[in-house]
Amino acid sequence: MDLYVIVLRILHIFGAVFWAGTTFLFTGYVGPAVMASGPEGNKFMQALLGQTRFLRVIAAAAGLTALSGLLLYWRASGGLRPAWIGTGTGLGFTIGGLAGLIAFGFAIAMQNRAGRRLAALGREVRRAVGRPLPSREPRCRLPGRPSARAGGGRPSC
Amino acid sequence: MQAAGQAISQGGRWSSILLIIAVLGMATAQYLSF
Repeated sequence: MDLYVIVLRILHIFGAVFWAGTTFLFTGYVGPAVMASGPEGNKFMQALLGQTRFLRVIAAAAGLTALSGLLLYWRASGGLRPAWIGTGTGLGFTIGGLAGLIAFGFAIAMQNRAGRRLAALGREVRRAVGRPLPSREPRCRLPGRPSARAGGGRPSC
Repeated sequence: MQAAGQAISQGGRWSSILLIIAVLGMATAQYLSF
């Protein structure tokens, strides 16, 4: 085994471990916890997707895994020789590789979807910052109904 | 934002299944190559 294959295997295995591990963790535990947490879950998602490089790192790991896998497949199959692909080993690598490539497609689609939603949220926030935020309290309070925020029974307008 | 989480969760479910298939395929191929 030459250095080229060793390096590709290391990149492929580490990338796949990180990508698959993160996917299992998120799908099995973090995602359901976010859904169950309501507004706090929203805050967490906002911080995770907006303030860290989570999506980019996952996409990079998935891309690195797919690319190194394709190069390893090319090398092992001797340039896509049909005789090798028809063997048990070839079929195993082909089925595994195709499943991995479809999962890679899912990862990219997922990143794009989440990225679009984040961009939409960013536009909303920018619009909201540009003008006063809408208040839930009535602008004009009746004198008989004091509000703690308005400071006693004084009417606010 | 929760919708983004939902999108990731749904995509993640399918990704998980496909990644398991990929790992099983690779493991079988390695086994058969020995």
